Amino acid sequence: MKLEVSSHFRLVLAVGVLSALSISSSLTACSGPEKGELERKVSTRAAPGSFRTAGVTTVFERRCGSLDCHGGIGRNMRIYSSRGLRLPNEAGLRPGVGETTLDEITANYQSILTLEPELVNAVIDGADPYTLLILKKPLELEKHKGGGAIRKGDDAERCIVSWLKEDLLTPIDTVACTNAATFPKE
Amino acid sequence: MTRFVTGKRLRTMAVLTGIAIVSCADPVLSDAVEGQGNETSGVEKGEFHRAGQPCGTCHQEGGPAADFPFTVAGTVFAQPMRQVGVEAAEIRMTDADGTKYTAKTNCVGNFFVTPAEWQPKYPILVEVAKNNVRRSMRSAIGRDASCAGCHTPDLEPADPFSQVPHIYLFSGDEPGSPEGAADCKVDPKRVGSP
Repeated sequence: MKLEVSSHFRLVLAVGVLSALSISSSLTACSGPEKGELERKVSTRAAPGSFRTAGVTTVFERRCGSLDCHGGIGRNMRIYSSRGLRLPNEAGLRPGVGETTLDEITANYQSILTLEPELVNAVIDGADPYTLLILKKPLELEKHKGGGAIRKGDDAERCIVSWLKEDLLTPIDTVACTNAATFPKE
Repeated sequence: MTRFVTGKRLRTMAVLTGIAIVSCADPVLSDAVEGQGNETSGVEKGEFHRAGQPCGTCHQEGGPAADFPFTVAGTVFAQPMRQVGVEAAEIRMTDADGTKYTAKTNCVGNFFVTPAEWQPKYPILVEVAKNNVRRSMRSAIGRDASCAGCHTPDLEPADPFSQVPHIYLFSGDEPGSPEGAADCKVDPKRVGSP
């Protein structure tokens, strides 16, 4: 009888230890690192929201996205737009028809940011935006087959740079973006 | 001591030189030129040939018509579903520097601008006009000297998401000459057009 109690007790103890270990490991797996161990950063630079709402996408669409430039399917940094290349769709949206869709804006954002992902990360971390091809090429700081799509100091440059540097203290230049999006002048 | 180059050696050198020249050619351009097909029967090379095709493919540096390059060239047809050239349509262009140039179509609808006439800085804005009809292009030309680079000569674009139909000025028949200019040396209607 004494032996039976002892083995029952050992069984309960083993189950208890296993449960405790399991709960402990679960908690460890789900909990975050110690405070100060990992520095989490939330950046507002080059944000997808501003890309759409402030019209940064429209600047790229108008300045870079014609069918014979980055709206061409053979070109890198592919840009979709209502006036140029369309994402395949069943809504009857062809070049020159309707508005640029949310999917197309998202595709443009991905196109632009993944052109040089490491450098974009560095810019989001505070590096000089002018290290990026999306500025060097249209400003002709680097050879560009399409020539100077943006002029130094014009609205398009201010818009893109302010988007890449956007934070609470330096908001995106929405006026420049609006002006730059009116291109060609109508 | 003097060694003479024999005929056999000369031939070998010529062949090698030929291979070197061919291997330096631009294969993309070669394919594009080949893709234009043969000349239309009865239409000689000149201002009336290959209406609706991308002129800049050949008329550019390195192309087979490099001795007569174009900075901008294309064709204006009258209707959306019928390719009859419009004569004397004005192509009004403005480049990135604000300089302007107006070209005029011939009787098959072709127009072309040479570097001596105008060397635009891209992008270019374009409108086409004749009499009281005017049609503006919604987007700018980014860099392609050929209108047909985007405006496919096919009545129905093969890829409707990346190509646009041919340039046309009127929504119906061209007022006064639905068959095109009567005194044109060649048929102003493009081969294959309804």
